Amino acid sequence: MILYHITTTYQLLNCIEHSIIAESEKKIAVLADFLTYKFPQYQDMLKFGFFDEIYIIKYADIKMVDTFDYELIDNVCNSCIPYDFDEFEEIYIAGIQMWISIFLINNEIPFIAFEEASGGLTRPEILEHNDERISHIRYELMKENHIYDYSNTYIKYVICNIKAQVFIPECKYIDFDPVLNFSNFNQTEKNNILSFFKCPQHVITNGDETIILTQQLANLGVVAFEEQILMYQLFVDYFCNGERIIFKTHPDDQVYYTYLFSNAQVINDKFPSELLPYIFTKCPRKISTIYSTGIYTISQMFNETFELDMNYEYSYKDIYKYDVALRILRNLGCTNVKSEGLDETLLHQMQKNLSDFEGTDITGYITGKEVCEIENFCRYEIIIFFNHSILLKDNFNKMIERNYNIHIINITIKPFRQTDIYMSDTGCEIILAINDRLEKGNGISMKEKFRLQNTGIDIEYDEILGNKFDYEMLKGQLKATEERLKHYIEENDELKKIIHEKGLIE
Amino acid sequence: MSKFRQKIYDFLVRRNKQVQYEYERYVMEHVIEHHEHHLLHWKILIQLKWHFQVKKNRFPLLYWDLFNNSDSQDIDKSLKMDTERYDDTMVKIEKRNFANTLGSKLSNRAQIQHFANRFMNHDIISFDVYDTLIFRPFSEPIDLFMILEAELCIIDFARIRIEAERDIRQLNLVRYGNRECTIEDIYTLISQRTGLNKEKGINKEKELELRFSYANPYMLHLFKILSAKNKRIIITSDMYFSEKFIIQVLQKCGYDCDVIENVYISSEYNVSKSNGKLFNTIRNHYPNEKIVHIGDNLEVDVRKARDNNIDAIHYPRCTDISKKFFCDEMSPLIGSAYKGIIANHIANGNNYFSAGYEHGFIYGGIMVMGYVNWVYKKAIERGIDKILFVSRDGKIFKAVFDSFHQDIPTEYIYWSRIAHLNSCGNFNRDIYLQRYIRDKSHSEDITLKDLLEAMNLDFLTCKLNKYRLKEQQLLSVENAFLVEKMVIDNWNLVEKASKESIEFEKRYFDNIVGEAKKIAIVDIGWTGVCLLDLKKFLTTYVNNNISCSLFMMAITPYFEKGMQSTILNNDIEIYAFSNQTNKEMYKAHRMTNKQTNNVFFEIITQDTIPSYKGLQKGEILFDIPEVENYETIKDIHKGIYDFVRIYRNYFEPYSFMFNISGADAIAPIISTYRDVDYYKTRFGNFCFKRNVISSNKYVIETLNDICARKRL
Repeated sequence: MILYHITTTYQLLNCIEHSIIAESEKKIAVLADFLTYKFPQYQDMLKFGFFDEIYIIKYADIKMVDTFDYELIDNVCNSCIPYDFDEFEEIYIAGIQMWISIFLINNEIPFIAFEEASGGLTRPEILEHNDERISHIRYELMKENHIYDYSNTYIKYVICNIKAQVFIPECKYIDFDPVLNFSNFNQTEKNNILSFFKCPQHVITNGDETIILTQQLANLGVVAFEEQILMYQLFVDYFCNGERIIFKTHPDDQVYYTYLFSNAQVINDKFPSELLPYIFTKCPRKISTIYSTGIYTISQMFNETFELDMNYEYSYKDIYKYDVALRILRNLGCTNVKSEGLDETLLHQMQKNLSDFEGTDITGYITGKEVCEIENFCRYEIIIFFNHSILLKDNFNKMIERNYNIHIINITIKPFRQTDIYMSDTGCEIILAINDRLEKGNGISMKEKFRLQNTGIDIEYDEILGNKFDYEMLKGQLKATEERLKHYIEENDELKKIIHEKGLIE
Repeated sequence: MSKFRQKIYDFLVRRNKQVQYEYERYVMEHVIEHHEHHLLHWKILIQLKWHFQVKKNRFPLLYWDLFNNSDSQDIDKSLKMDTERYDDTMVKIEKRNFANTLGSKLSNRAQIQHFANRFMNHDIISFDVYDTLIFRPFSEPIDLFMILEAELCIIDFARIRIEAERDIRQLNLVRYGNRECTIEDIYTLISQRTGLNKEKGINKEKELELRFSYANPYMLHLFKILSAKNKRIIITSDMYFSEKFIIQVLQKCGYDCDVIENVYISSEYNVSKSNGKLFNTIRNHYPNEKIVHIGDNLEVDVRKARDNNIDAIHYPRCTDISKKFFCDEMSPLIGSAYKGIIANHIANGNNYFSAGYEHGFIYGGIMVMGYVNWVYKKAIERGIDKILFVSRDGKIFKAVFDSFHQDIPTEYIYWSRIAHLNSCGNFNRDIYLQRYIRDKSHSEDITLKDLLEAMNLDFLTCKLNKYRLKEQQLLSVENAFLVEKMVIDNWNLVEKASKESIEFEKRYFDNIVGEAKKIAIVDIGWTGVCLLDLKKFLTTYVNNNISCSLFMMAITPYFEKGMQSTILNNDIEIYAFSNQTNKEMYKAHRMTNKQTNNVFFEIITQDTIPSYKGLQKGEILFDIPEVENYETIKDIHKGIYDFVRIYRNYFEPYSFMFNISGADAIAPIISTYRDVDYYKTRFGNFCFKRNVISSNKYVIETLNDICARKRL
């Protein structure tokens, strides 16, 4: 007799497939209560013979805010099945970050873990990142028990899709590829799985489409609902503009893509993205995502894949800066772009978009850091500072004082959406420093205006022209701010000294 | 009335307060009818008794005005409130508690993606329209009639419109047994009473409804989420407009009306939500479907729906939620627009805002917008060709001014108390001595050496001995007189020392003023001395042909009897308050919270740069910056911009809506003085550099430190 614990759509597919393959006289599934809301047809799994018995574990009953209540966890877990956990030959836990793992560990019952999502074994930071937001108390407990990195001693091994991993895992693992397994099933088994998930059939495509796998970012508390909308609008504007788009929404994603992208096709059905290749008349050309792990298992079935990473949650707010900085560097004839302190993936993908970087061997340098190495100022002909507070820093001031013959140009970027009176982004600035060695800087226009189609945002950037008094005033302000920073540094040193003297740190 | 009859009357009418109120009001308003048609009035009395005493309804039957206007249905309280509202002066301000209630978290609404989950198990979603799907930028829907009054140019039209609707509803109740009416019914009556062309009136009202209606962003998301999930959507509203017009309004607000399956409007069905019959109609149309209705009125939208086996979700009206922190001391129209915009933006549930943003939006927006438009009007009257906004408060004023008016060029100028003392000491020697020496002798532990250095007079250090003073001696009340004497005795040297500074300021302002001949200088407050001396500086050193107008938000002179002739003579023109105008506000600002209100007030108008100190020893100096505040300041500014943009978006065609009186503009911020805890909890860590005069030593105090020091 074996037991599967399941919490997500991806895990459900994995466990169904595993159960079909596994040899055991009785296969029991325990579904998280919230999963049954998503799949009210869950009892059909008995009909299709995926499992012999199905039970529900009521995680909604475990409400912990400040303190752990182990007794409550014990009660909920013990009451979910009419068996003793010792009776099972194997216990497979998919969704190991849930309370049942703590229950098993506390009761010294070893188990086999399924990775939480495709490629999740070597990307534990994604799960940690989400959990920290959802329940801090659970996050702390799981971290303490080495759950996120699957290194708890009660985890016998991990079932994972090795193709989707970033590197070869150090822990004991068994490769399990849900797409490969599915393709090896007979037609009846395939049909049963597709029927259970109510997958749409024969979605008409002509093969040149781009699929975007969405994520439930707002639901997880990663961003606000409107921020998620803007994230996807900008994603399409910058990376899929002009392409025929099909959205495959995450089962818990509430965003209304049909309204946002009138020409896009939206698949709202709740099924694992691993089954996507089986629903189209012709497989689309490209698959894209912000950072959905779903892409890793199926990417090989598409000609092209596109992916950003978790940093986009923050960097999308600066996407106009990335765009304008790259446009300016391109206009100034840069062929290479070096950077630090930025979302490198986003920068790289955007640079690929602005494909016409050619001509000279000038290297531009973009920095998002607050403090820069002064040596960089003489190494590069063009430097772009994202962080306006760089002006408040000692290094920058010294650079001006040492007279590196650099022209400083303030570029103001104004995003404006005609239709939205609530859009309160009042603009942003980047600072451009051009070395005198680069004569090309002269006469190049630092002004442009263009519209992002899906967002409807007009972007306009221009130089801010100042006079000699502005410069003098700025210098005065920098000096005053330095004083304040010095005060902080001194205060910090003082505190460190006290802490050291008291032996609080080594 | 005989005793017996009185007893019967008391038994029938006065036993229930609501029956008594509605019946007696009706009788008073229809005295002739009362004598001629006894039966009709008995019928009304029976209906009232049935409604209030048998059915135990808590909402009105005939008179909805007070019900809509008050938090509770306590009629006496409402009437009392109306008469007492303006009686009290601001000095005797009642304590309020904003600290834990104010703001976007007040509504306690679920995030939209979670809220939407509550509808997933239903087949049909019914939406209420006004105050649910649709907002209008007014605190009460009837306040739109004040704008209608301006459009139709009929004196007192707002009252006429309200009374016409009330009367037609009563008439219909008697005639048809229900209170429903159409816009046509209302304007037929208005036409009879005023001679206004009925069609013209209807069209104008519809035009304004369309103009002022805007989508509740929270509900727009919900609507789109649900329709994207293929939920069936219906509209249910008690309204005198037609279905066609409601659809037009919804469409204009961005709702996809193609997905609306049915519209149930009381005026078309002659039954309403308030008597439950409209829900009954819906239930009959959809006997087997699982229906949920969402609306803002607990009684009408929730209880009545549930009475008819329709699930209901209450979405409390934003203005009701926000009532607790509304400022009552504003004029009706501006106050209504202000409150409507604030409540609908802050409490709709779509966003949680930072404390800084909310402070800017709720208290800063109206103040800054009112002030800059007043400045513009004054500038036009005086033919001003350039406006100078004084740092640091001037930054936000200039930005908002520029967003409104591009026909008068503006400049942001660096000026401050220290710059003023260093450049204008020769105009105003007493102020120089007062601020540098006398004031500091009370408040600061500063050695004489440091003091002279801060005054840029370190060359006088060698003369200290002559006055029996020592370099390391602390400035005190006892020795201040000697220090002052030393400075006066060497005034020629002081003047000489300030020459460099004067020369720089001269060049700086020459560049700023340019070709302008008539300039205006705009500042926030407070004593007016800096501004008067700047004017003198400009006309003396920069260009003696220029004329200078001085505008200030408010003035609180050093000396209570000071500056009187200056104000009377319009040498400085004051927008909001002085000890001559809006005196209650002046008193509230100056005489409450132990003179800390300047600190509270200026949180709104701070800038993200340090205070300017002018040129000293060949170097432009700025004071120690309060960098810790910069993020909050940016949020405050964002809140101000957003308020201004939203207000402007709705009221741009009505120029009178921008003639905001100083009293209205400043009433919200003054109302916050009632609750120091509001500042302590939200801006407790806001930093202030204490004593901007000396540079050698500085103390950064937080707002909480200041409050503790002042025992607030």
